[in-house]
Amino acid sequence: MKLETLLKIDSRWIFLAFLLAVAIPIIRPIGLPLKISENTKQVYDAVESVPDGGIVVLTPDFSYDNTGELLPMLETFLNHLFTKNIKVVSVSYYGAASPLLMETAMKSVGLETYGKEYGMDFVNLGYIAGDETAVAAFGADVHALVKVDHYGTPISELTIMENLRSAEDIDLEISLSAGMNYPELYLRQWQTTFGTKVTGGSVGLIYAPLIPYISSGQLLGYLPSMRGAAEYELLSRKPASAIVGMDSQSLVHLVFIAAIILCNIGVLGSYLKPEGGEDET
Amino acid sequence: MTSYDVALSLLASGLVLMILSFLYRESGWFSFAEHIVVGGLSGYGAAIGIKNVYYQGLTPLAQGQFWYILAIIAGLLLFAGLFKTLAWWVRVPTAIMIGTGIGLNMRAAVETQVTAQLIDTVRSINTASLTTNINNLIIVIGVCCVIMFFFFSTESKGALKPVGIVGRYFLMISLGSSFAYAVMGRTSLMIARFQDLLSYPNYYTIFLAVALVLYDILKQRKTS
Amino acid sequence: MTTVIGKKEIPVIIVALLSLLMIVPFFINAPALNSMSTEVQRMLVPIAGFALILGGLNVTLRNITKISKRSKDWQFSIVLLATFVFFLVVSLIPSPFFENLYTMAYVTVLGKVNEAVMALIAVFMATMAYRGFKIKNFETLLFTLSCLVVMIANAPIGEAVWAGAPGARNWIMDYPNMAGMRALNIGIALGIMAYGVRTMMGHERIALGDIEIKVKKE
Repeated sequence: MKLETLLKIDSRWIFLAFLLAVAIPIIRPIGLPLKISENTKQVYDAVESVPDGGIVVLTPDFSYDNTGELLPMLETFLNHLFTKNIKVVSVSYYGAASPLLMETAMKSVGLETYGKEYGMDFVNLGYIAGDETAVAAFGADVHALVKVDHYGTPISELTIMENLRSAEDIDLEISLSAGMNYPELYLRQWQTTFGTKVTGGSVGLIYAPLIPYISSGQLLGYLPSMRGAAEYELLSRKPASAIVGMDSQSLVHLVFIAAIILCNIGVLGSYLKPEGGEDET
Repeated sequence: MTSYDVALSLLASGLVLMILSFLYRESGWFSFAEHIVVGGLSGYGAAIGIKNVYYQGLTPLAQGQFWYILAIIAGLLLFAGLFKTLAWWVRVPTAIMIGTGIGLNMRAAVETQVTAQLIDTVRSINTASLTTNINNLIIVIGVCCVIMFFFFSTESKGALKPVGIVGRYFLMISLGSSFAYAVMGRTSLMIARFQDLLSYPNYYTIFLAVALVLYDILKQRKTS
Repeated sequence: MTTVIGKKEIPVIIVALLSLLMIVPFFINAPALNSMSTEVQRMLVPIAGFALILGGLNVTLRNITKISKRSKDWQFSIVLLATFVFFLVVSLIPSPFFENLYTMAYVTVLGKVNEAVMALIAVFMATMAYRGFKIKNFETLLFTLSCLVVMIANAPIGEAVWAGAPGARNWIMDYPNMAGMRALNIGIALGIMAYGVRTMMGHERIALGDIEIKVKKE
């Protein structure tokens, strides 16, 4: 077989290899061990350091097109937060679907499981349009901006909101973001202005550009996609869907690595041809 | 699981497989599911918009905060673009949104995205650990070279040329690692879909989809 | 009488005034300005709501036109409009039945299909890796190597095969990657600020819809 034929594999074989790599471990799990990174420990410690009775604002800034990446992360954060005496306020600035995602996560986590009460320990304020303007307005005066929660209950009737007046009252902001601008705008509007601590997790796509903020200490660690969620699940001793998904990740990454190696063997083959030069495919 | 849940679940997995059928070839099934997604998301988005206007605009107005009428008028002016003779008026709400956005972005951007970042860049290269010194030097060189790579005010020649080339090397490493994380992220979405597709009762739809693909392959072979 | 402030100047004045209203209270202690700034920020939220409604209206009008003109694949526009109306209605009617219905329809059906569309990208990334990662020079070598090391370390199987992978990944992410990304972030921030100042001064008018792009006919 000529090496350069490796450059001419039909895309549909790669599609098939990819789909099989995703499906096989779901049917027959492998259970490979997972190492917890320093970054994940930093996020965990940030949540642990919230004082008793403190307020955490959880912002699920993603939609249904990113549930695979961020829903397990949202659930694992909620599971950890509810084991402690912390008030959790959920609000989103990303998209209309985010409050529904919070509902989905809450159904899976269950307030009653932890003996918590809606309005007392947790509230879903829903979606507020306006991006940076809305974040800035929320930070300046919560009660002036938000009148009702996601279900139409006036926030004056919710005990949890009594102590949350501005971003100064937030002990930790956990941002789960599908876009690069979200952690940045919490840093701009809440941290720089009010000194709010910020941590959270993001989709894989924007993780690398966020590293400078982790390095400078502006973000107290940040979880990258499913891997970050899986490590956090392990750390908080509550294994769930992210850990299960990591086996598929292993095989899919192997497919990618194999594709890159095959392609480059093909390139090498085309250079080694007697007439020289590479086939442009 | 009630029969209602089963029906909804099968409907969802059927539509998901229609989307995935794009990997085999583009067909009407894919377009059908694609239009459902666009229609559903726009409908839900518009409904949220209406709720937002009601709770954040009309409610304060009804409570006596009369200046909210300006927000309502500005919002309504957005629709002026639909009429040719009134189209200019769209610039007013656009200017309001852009002006506020620029101001909010600029006021803290220097401290958040420039000053804090530069402070962390200027690290000592005279510590007790040689590894730390080398790593700190890499950061300083990398940041300076990449910034110079994007410096277009002067032509990149002479001493600036190698600086730009080193900047390009750093960018390549950054983009490579970024791609690796993007792979993990996007794969997670497919894993989530397959975790759902391979559960009861959804896996029945997979058998049906595979049968349809095989039938199509055989049909194409016969015609060719 | 000559007009000093024309149609072109009004949007620029609005941008400049509002930008300053947001910036000034951040740096000086002026309670009156600060409360005015916060109030304007709040008033922008319903305007953003109107923008969402406009988006929905645009989708509707475009598809109605497509149906009336019997354009290519107009039948799909009917599907789109039917789904649009369904989700709009069930999301708005405040009754437990409709609330359940829209949550079910969104969470159980639409959300999953939406995610499947995005998941397709992953598969195309695999073919992109196969076709695009050809090592031809030093730059592509660095790109491919950094990608391979991070991928190996991110997959649990990679860690099992090469124990040093997480360390190598962390070094790449924390030093060369961080340097590159930091420079990009700083560049973006400075670019946005420069663009902001130019818009405030009326030099950058594309955002305000003031520049018509003229195409020269050959």
